[in-house]
Formats: sequence, C-alpha cells, structure tokens
Amino acid sequence: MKNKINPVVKLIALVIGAVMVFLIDSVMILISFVLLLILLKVIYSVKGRFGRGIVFLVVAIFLAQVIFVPEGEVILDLWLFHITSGSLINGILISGRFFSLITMSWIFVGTTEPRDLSSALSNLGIPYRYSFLLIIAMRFAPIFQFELSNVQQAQKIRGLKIDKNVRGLIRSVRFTTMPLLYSAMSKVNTLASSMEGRGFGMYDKKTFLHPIRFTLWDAVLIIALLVFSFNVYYLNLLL
Amino acid sequence: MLEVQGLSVTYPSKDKPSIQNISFSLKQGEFVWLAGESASGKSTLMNCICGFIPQIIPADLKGSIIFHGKKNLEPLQLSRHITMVHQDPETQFCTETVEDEIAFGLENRCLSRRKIDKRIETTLRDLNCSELRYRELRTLSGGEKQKIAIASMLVLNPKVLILDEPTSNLDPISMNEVLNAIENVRRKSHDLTIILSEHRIGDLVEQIDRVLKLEDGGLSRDFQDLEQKNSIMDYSYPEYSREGVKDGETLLKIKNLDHTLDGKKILKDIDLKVRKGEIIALMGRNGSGKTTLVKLISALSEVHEGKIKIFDRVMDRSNKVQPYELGKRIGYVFQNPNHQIFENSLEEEIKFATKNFSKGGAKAKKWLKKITTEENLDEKTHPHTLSFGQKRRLNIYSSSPHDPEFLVIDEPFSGQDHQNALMIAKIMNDLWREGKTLMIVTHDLEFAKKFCTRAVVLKDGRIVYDGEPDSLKSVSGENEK
Repeated sequence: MKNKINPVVKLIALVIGAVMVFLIDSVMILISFVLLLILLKVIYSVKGRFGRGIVFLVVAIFLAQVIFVPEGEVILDLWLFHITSGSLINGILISGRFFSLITMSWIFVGTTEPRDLSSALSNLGIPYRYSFLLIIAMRFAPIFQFELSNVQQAQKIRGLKIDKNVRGLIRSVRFTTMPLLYSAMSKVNTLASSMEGRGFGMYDKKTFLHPIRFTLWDAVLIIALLVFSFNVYYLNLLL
Repeated sequence: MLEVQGLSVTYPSKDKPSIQNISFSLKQGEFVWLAGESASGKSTLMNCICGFIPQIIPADLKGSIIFHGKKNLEPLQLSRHITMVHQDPETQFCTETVEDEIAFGLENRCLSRRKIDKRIETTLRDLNCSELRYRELRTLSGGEKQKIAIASMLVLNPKVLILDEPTSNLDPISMNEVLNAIENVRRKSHDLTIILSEHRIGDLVEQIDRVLKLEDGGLSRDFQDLEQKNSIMDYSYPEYSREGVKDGETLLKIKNLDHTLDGKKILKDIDLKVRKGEIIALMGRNGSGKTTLVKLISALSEVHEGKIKIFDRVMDRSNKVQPYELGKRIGYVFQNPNHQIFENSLEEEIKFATKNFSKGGAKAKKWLKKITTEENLDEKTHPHTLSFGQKRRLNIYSSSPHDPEFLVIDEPFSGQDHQNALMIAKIMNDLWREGKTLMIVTHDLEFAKKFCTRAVVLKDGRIVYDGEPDSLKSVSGENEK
C-alpha cells in the first residue's frame, strides 16, 4: 500500500484535515472522523501503538474541559464537580481534535518515504537543497536517539541521579547538552564534506533515480478531497 | 598531478598549527600510505586536499595545493576529481538505502537515470557486493557499510581516492573485507591515485608504492622501500605479569541469559562466571552481542530472561537494579569518548563520580595530578579540547575514581594508534594491579594474548569460546582458514 499516493497529495490532505478538525463542531462528525483515521491506520498498517503518553494527554484534555470549563445545563452532580452538557461536548471536541491531529501526522509519516516526499516536492519546483533536508533529518533522528540513550546511561553508571522536578530537569539538560552537541558537531562537518564532496549543490537541478511526478490522477484526488471536505463542512453546519 | 606546497593549517580554537610546512607531490596512479599517530595531522592534510579545509571546516590555511596546475580549488570543483571516504560510514551516509547512497553523487551531476543505473551496477560488481544493491543501509554490517561508502565515491570515477581510516571501527574480519576491497580497486584501476590513512593495513602493504609519515604535524618520512615499510608496522605489546588470578572469589555469575531486542535475539543461552582479579577479553565480530552483554551486566539494560548475579545483587525478570546503585561497584567506559564527558574542566570531569557517590576524593586528586603531569595539561583544561587519545585516557580515569571493583571497558583502542593503545593498556594494567577485575571488549588478538587472562568469544549471541587467550586462533573464535 505504501507509496501509491503522491506524498504531496498526502501533505495537502494533512493540511485540509487539520483545518477541518478545527472547523467541525459536531460531535458525531468528529467521532466518525476519528474512527475513519483509526481505520486508515490499521489498513495502512502504520507501525506504533497509541502509547501511554498520548492516551494520558487525550484523557487529561477531556477531563480538564469537563471539570474546569462548565457550560450549559448541569447533567450530573458529583460532590464538588458539576458536569454540564456543554463541557462534555467541548471535552469530546477538543480531545478528539488533538487525537486526530496526532493520528493524521502519524499516518503521514508512517506511509511516506522521505526520499519520495523530497522528490515530489522538487517536482513541484521546490529547490532540492531544501527538500533534501527532510531526508537528512530522518536519517539522523535515530542516530541522535541512540546517542542520547548512551549519554544518559553513562551519566547513570557514574552515579548521576536525576530527580523528577525542575532542578533535576535543569541538571539533566546541563549534563546532556554538551556531549550531544560535541558529537553532533563532529558529525556535521563529516556529513557536509561527504555531500559537497559528491557535488551536492553543483547545479540547480539534479536527477532523481526514483522520480515522483505530479500526475492528473493526483490533481483529481486533491479536487475530490476538497469537494468531500466542503460537503462535510456543510453537513456540520446543518447538524 | 597533485602537488602540496608549504602547507600549514591552524584551527581557530588552537594556538599552534595542526600541520606545518608540508610539501610533496604525487604522480597519477600512486598508492600512498599516509602513516602517523592519531593527531599527527593526517585528517587535516586529507581535508585540505579535498578543499574541505577551509571551505567547510574553518581554519587558517597557508601554502597551496595544486591539482593539474590549478591552485587551491573549491570543494565543488575538486569533487569532480578527488573523493574522500571518511572514518565512520554512518556519518557520511545521507540517504537510507544502498542504491540511493551510491546514486547520490551521480544525481547531483545530473546524469541520466539509465547511466546512473549502469554505473551503480558496475561499481557494485567491481567491489563484489552486487547483492547489497537493494538493501537498507541500517541493515548492513560494519564492513558492508564501509564498502558501500567506498562504492559511493568510486562510482564518481575520481582521479584521486582518499580513505581516512576506513577500517578503524571494524572487527578484523570486516577489516580484511574492506582492505581486500581496496586491493581489488587497486588491481582494477592503475590510473587511480589512492591515499590511504590507516594504522594497520595488513597484507595490503605489498601493494603500497610509497609511504608518507606525519609526525607532530610535519612530514617526517617519505620513502618507497618495502623494508622500511615494515619498520613502521610494529603492533606488539610488552609482557605483562599475571600471577595469582585463578584463586579469586566469584564476582559475577550469569545463568541462561537470553536477550531480545526489537524481535531479534541478540544473546542466547549465556552462562558465564567471573572471578575477582580476572582480566577478560570479550571478543567477537561487530554485532555479535558484546556491548549488549556488558550493558546487561552493568544494569544499563533490563534482564528479561535468565539471571545475572553480580556481587550480592541479583537481576532477573522480577528483580530490577538501577545503574546508579550498581555504579558504586562497577565502572563502565563507553565506546565513544564524547558521550561520557559532562564537565567543563579536567578536574570536574574526574571528580564527577566522586561527587555523585560521595566517595574517592583522594583517588580523584591523585589521578588528576597524574593526567596533568603525564599529558602536560592544566587542571582547568576543557576536556573537549583534548586529542582523541587523551579523551580515551580521561574516560578511563573518570570512570573509576570511586574505586569500583569491576570495570567494563568497551573497545578502548577503537580509532587509536598503537602508541595510544600502549598508554591505555598501561593505565588498565595499573587498575588491575590495584585489585580490580576487568572486562575489556576488544578486537585485538595480540592484546588479548599478552594482556588478558581469559578470552570469551561471542558469535551470533552465543559464547563459542571461553578459555586461555593463547589457544585462540582468531577473533571470531573459529580456526583460521
């Protein structure tokens, strides 16, 4: 399933989707949208589970709305908390929007090769010098993640105990930034030399061994997306 | 063809030049071995030849580099003729797959897709690794990665190929693979000028036309005679006295240890007992599970299957130990010197563990004195301004001022020249004489035989050899062909 849709179309879909979730204020439509996204994630077998952090945030946003921003009639009275109909709807809408944004970005990243996105963007006239940055970022993200974990292990074995408070955070940042920065700096020179040494930036254009072209089909897809979105928005106004 | 005239380079952060007044000229097709200790200026010289200094790496450059009559060209102009393979392939790769990586330079030159395709095919065939074409880079072994790095430069049909310590992070088998690949390149194209900077080049020395040796930033020797070549290839270690090792109490006991990471079995069925006072050489190819094993022993990873008992602490599925609890009694030196330097002065750096554990102040002072006198440094020197070899020695000192009984040292000699290796070995020997037990991850068979009391060899996550280092024939634990 991977790579069938032009990455630029997916990027546009992501932007339209992001705008839509903020425009929609019908709980029914938003819940349908969330279900659609979960379905897409399963169909495209996007890796990764909804981790504890995301679930916690979604629930926290929901509860904060319900408890602290009362609106409309009280439908449930729980000791100090008065649950109102309006706050319940707002809670669902706001946490649903947050969840949708995360899932959409997730599906986008999980189904898009950085190489293809770079190629597709260049095909639209964006200079490859910029679009190539995407590839570099994706390549080095896991390397820095690995280094970060090594640095933290090296701190722990030499007895550094980081308390889980602001002071601990400052200490952790202080002892982690420098090793990572030095490691990154030594890499930057090598990478720049390796790229320039192979003619990166020699011409304004370059060949793409695996070009992604913008086709008529892609244009049709974008128009279909827009039409669909307008209809959903209209439906939202009616509900 | 290539001429270097009175070249001197000073980096902005340094007061004295890293290379000084270097002059030589190279003929087309010469195979040059650039020898010299770490920090003697080899990398600086090579970066100048490619034009990376001063364009990408800022420095003050005096003198000139003349290529086919043209003086001090820009890196982009030079990239058509001179290419350089760096020490760490991981850092020079800028794509995710073998094919994309090799295509990169050709794409930048706007060659047609058909031509690119053809050139990738030929280059991979020349290096005997056509089967790697559609693989992802992260799935390759260390040796394969370096071969692809070489392929990605060779595909550009350069006139000069520069190799900056291409084998220094590799196990001996991968190292031979890469050296053989270079030899192959040499045999196929006699027009290609090759400059190889490397500490150990094995049998490849037979192919060398000329040796340039750098010392303290100057060109100290320039010769062609094979007898002399052998004279700079001494990698021996002195005899270290090892007595009374066998009677120590058991410090570490590992039983039925398995370890799985991302669905892949890294360690299988490990049983191991270590006595106090032993010096264990933990050996095996890159990716055989050595680092995973020592991280489990030091509580840096969690034990899921099997059991590790170290001192009186048990680690298994239900008993977890925090690394800082164990750190009082285990010192750990990581592979990359930069990952374990946290402070802004030598003094603070050596005292780091002392402060955290509130133990070992006197020892830290003693070592600070030792390192500052031996290396001629100031207590307030910033650790990141040290040379690669000095950093490695500092790592060992700062891992153990609080006198841990057990010391894990992961590849102490990686990227180090032999002089540095000898100095590091001396420090480790002093630590052993203080009564510490050492577990050293190493690829150096000669070192294991002379220095260590026991060798444990891992292959694909299993222990395939455990015994006297002397009867070990190869680092992979198998008999040599």
